[in-house]
Amino acid sequence: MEKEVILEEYSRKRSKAISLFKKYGIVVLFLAPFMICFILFFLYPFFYGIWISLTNFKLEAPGVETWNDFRWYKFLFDKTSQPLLFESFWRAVGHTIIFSIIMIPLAVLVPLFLAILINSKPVGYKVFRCLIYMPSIIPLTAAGSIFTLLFLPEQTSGLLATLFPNFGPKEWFLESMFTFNIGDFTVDVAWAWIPIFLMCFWGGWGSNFIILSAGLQNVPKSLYEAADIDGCSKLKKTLKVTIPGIKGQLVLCLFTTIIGYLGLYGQNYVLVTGGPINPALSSMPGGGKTSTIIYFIQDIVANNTNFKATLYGLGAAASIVFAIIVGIISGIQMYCTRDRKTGNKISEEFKSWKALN
Amino acid sequence: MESAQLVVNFALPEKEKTRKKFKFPVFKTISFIFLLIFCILWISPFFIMFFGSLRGHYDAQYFPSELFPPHSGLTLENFKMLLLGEYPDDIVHNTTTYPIWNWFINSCFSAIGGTLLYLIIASFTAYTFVFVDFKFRKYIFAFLIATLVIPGTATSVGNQSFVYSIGLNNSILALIIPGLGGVYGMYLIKTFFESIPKDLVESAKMDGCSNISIFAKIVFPLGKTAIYVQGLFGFMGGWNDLVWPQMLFGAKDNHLWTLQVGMAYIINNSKTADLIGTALASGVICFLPVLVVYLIAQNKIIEGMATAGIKR
Repeated sequence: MEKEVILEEYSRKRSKAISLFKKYGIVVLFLAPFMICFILFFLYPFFYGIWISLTNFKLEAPGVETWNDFRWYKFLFDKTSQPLLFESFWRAVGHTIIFSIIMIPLAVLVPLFLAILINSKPVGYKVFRCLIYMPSIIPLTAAGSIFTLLFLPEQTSGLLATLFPNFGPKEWFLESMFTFNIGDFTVDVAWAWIPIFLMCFWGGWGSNFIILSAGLQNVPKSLYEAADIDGCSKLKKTLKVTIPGIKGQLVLCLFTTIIGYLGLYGQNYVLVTGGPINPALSSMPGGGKTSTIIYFIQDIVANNTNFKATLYGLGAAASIVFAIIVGIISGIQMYCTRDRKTGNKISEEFKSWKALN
Repeated sequence: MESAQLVVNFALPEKEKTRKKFKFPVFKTISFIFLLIFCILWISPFFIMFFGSLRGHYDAQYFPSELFPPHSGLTLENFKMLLLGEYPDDIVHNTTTYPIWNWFINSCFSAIGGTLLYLIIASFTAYTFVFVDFKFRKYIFAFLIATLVIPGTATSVGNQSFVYSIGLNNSILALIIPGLGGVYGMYLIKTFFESIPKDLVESAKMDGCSNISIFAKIVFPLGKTAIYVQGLFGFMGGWNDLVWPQMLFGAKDNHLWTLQVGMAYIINNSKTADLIGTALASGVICFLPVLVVYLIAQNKIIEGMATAGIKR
C-alpha cells in the first residue's frame, strides 16, 4: 500500500517534470539564441558605451577605467573647456539639422505626390513603381561614383562642367556657395551640399513611396463614393478623404525620414569625405564644412587612428547624445502610431470581457 | 402615361452607358505622361554609370561629354584595371591592385551568411512569441519593442570595443554577429506570423505534434512570405551597410574590408579623368548583385515593404 503511494507520487512528480521540461524546454531552446545575442550585442554594448563615455577608457587597455568627472560631456556642452572641439561638434549638429529641415518635407511630399499619380493606375503603373523604387536599392558607393563623375571640375572632365561650362562653380567639391554671420559665428555653406542633396533626393525616399502608395490603396473605396455623392471636388476629396486615410503611413514615413536624415553619413563620406576642410578646425574630428553628427562620431571611432587613441570616449559621449535625441523622436513616433482602441479592437475586447463574466 | 414611363425607364441606363464609354481618362493620361518623364529622368544616372564604366580612359579625358555611346566605343579597360590590375602605361596611379575578390567574399559572407543565421534565430523567436504560451511573454516582448527607440549608433561604439575585446578584431565574424540581436526583423516576422490562423496550430497541438514539427509543417510553409521578405531586406541591408564595417575594419588591413568600404576608398582615390572610370566600374560591381536580386524578387520586395508599412 505504502509502496503504491510512493510510486504514484513519483510518477506524478516525474510527469510534472517532463511536462515542465516539455513546456519550458522548448521556450528556452527557441528563445535562447536570440536573447543571448540581444543581451550580448545590444543591451550590454549600450551600457558599456555609457560607461566608456563616463570614464577614462582606453581602447588598447580596457578594464582599468577610472571615473573622469564628465570630462567628455564637458567638451561637448561647455564652450570654455575645449573651444575647437565644441565648435566642431556643434557645427556638425547644425549642418545635420539644417539639411534635415530642407530635405524632410521633400522626402515625404514628393513620394506622396507620385503615389497619388500611381494610384490612378495608368498603363504600366507596376513598371513605373519598380523604376521609381530602384534608386533606393543602389549601394551608397555606387551612387557616389555617379555623382562624383557628374560634379568633377572641368580639368578632370566632370560631366556637368563640360556640358554646361558656365553653370555653377568651377570646383563643386571645394568652393563655398556663400557665407553668413550669426553674431560672430560664421556659417559657411559649401557647394558640396548640392551633390549631397541631389544624391539624397535621388535615392532617399523609395520606401516612403512604396508605403504611401500601399496606404492609398487601402483607403476604402466607399468613402470616395460617399464623397462623390455629396458632390466633392477632386481637391477636396484629396484633402478630406485621402490624407486622413493615410495618416498612419504619413506619420511613419515622417519619423523614419527624420531619423534617417539625422543619421546622415554615407553620402558625405563617399562624395567629399566630410567636405572642404574648415581651416580653423582642420585638426579636429568632423572639421569639414559638410560634416554631420555621425561623421563626427565616425571620424573619432573609425577613420582616424589618432583620434581613436586619444578621443575614444568623446565619440561614445557624442553617440549617447545623438541617441538621446533620436530616442526622444522615435518615442514620440511610437506614441503617435500606437494602437488606438477603436472599432474592431473595442468590440474584440468587449467579447473577451463578456466571455469572462 | 404608362408607356411614357416605360420609355424613360429604358432610356436612362442607355444614356449613362454611352457617357461612361466615351469618358476620356484625363487624370490617368496626365499621370502617365508625368510618370514617364519622371522615370526616364530617375533612371538616367544608371545609364551614366554603365556607360561611364565602359568608357576608356582616353575618351574620358578628351571627349568627356560623349557618353552615349563613348567616342571610340565600349571597352572593358576599367574592369581590367580594377580586377586584374592591368593599368595602361600612360595612367598615373598610386595603387597597384585592390583585393577586390576579398572584399567581394567578405560582403557575400556578411550579407548572405548574416541574413541566413538571423532568419533561423529570429523566426524561431517569433514563433515562440506568437504560438507558445509562457510566463512573462507579454512583458519580455514589450521590453524588446521598447528598446527599438535606442538607435544603432548608441550601441555601436560599445559594440566596437566589446567585439575587439572578445578577440574578434581580425575576424570577419564580427561583421555578422552583432546583427543577430536585432529586434526589428524579428518584430516584422512576428507581425506576419500573427496572421496565421491559431486554430491550425491548436489542433496540431491536440494531435500531439511537437513544437518543432508544428514549426516545420505549419508555420514555416504558411509564413514563408515573412521569412522571404525579411531575408531580402536583410540581404540588401547587409550588402549596402557602410558604417559598421568601416567602424570595425576601416583603420585596419584592407583584406578585411567589405565591398562598400573598399569602393568608398576607391572613389576617394580616383577623382581624376583617368581613374574616374574605375570608380564607376566599382560602382557597377557593387550594384550588380543587388540589381539581380531586385529584378528577380521585385514584386515580393515592394509587397513586403507595403505590408510592413501598413501593419506597423
